[in-house]
Amino acid sequence: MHDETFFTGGVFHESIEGGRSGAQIELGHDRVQAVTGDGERFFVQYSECQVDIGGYNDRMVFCRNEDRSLTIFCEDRKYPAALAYAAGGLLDEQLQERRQKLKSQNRRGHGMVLGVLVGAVVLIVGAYYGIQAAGVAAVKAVPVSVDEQIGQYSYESMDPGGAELHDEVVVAAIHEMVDRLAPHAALPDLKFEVHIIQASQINAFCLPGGVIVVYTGLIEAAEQPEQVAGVLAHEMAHATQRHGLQRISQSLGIAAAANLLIGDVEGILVLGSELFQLASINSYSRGQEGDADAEGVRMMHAAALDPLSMAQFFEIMKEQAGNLPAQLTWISTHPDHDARIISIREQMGTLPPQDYQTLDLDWEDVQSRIEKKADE
Amino acid sequence: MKHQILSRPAASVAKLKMDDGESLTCEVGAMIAMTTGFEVETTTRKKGAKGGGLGKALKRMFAGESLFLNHFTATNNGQSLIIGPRMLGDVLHFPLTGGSLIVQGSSWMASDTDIEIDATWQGFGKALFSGESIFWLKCSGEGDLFLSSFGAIYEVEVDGEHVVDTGHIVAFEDTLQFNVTKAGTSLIGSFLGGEGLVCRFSGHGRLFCQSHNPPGFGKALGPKLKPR
Repeated sequence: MHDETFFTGGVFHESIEGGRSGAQIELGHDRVQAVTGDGERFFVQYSECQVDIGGYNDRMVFCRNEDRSLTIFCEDRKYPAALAYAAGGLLDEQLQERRQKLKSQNRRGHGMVLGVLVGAVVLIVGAYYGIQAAGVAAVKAVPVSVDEQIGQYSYESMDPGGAELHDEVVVAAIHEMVDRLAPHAALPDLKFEVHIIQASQINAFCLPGGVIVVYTGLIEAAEQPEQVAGVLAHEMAHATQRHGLQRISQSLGIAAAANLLIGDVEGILVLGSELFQLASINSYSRGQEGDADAEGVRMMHAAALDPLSMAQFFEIMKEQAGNLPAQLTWISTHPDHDARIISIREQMGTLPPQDYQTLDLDWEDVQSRIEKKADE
Repeated sequence: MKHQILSRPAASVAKLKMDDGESLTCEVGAMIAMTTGFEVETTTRKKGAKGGGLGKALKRMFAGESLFLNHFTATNNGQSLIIGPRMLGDVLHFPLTGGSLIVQGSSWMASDTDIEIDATWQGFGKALFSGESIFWLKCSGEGDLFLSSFGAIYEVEVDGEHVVDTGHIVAFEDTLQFNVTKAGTSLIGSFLGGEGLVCRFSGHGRLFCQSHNPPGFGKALGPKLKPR
């Protein structure tokens, strides 16, 4: 029931000082009446009432007379229903129409808010990918000699975590792998430089410009030389795809990319080297790791080495994961090996037939020489 | 209580003459000078209100005001109190005679103790894009209300529609409705033209605008300041 007939509201009329006053609203049987604090009375007949809904909270109901010289308004939540009831259905159509209008207005408002928010998100995401793309574009414009300088500078000033192994047999074996892969590298002029470090960690990494560091722990863990070749192909791919320089340009932002383009190589050299030494050795992005896997597989295939060896090495790492968690550095910086094994196998399915050949190496001899050196 | 607004519009202050027992609630830091016949009380709630103090105070904080309120009560006749805004700008005296005035968060400076002040939510769109505080203050009741602005305050009698740039609203009567909308017909054109979004008022009532907006001033001034 809508038997409430008194509400607090207000009235607009030119006879009131200031044009407006608070008022007590009374719903009569044929009119809505407003009584101001001064006792002045104003009324609008339901039959001539023009209804509007609005106000700061979108729920104030206005009743205007025919010439709009008088407006009686109220924001009480119960007022619209009480007004409709008191007017005996005379104002139902107007109230309904105003409500619909307000609803569609609010829907448009919400649509605009949503549109602006979506626009802002698109801008932010666009800027993020734009900066990345600018980094990649800048890197393409920079000569490869910059990569080589950063790689050399980084290697010379870093502590690789062990002494370099110069054993002829071991060095020759690794060089054989690199020599087999290098002609198929995407950057034909890049000169690869391999350093074998005596340390038990199962790890290898590549600095920009083709400086590759392989730990003896990784050579010992591999069952076949082709598995080491698989890891080397992956690391060489980081160098040929210039992932290091891309990381630097992305880490230092668009300003660095611009600097690279205008030729301020010196500053980038120092900053980039520091970045590599401090935190970023092997810390390539997930996307870059995936790209390096794919390029590694392509290089192995082109060099007539079975790319499955790369997947086999991941499987060895998986098996050893339970026994040697602390030493599995290479795997720990290369997550999701299950997914990577699957994607390597998938990629192999798309490659043309190839007569894979093994490396002509006495792998047991290579591994025993490492053991001997470790015992000395 | 009698009032006088001095030094309008750039450096306005309100000078009030109050008799024994008359009270005024002010925002923290509004008092510039006063005679010695005042009792000053600091609370989180409106003078004489029962309950709801902290909740309302927190809402008021979101509206850009302080958690605390100062109440000045004259203990003798003929006491004088001078209050002023923090920013360089105008002071508006608005006599509330029933109904409500919706005030932009930081523009409320002082009001009669009979006036109820509550924070009101205007929806996400207005909170994000109106260039004002997330909450607005709804001042209702009867009595004197003093508002402050950045720059001069001017009044617009709206009967129909009126457009104000975001960040320039001081207060408006509760009978007005406003929406945040684009300045031109195209959204991109609106932004390129430097106007971006605007507040479109509709209905019947008075609207009070400020000639300058603090964020715009900050943006213009910031680059010229020397780093510390």
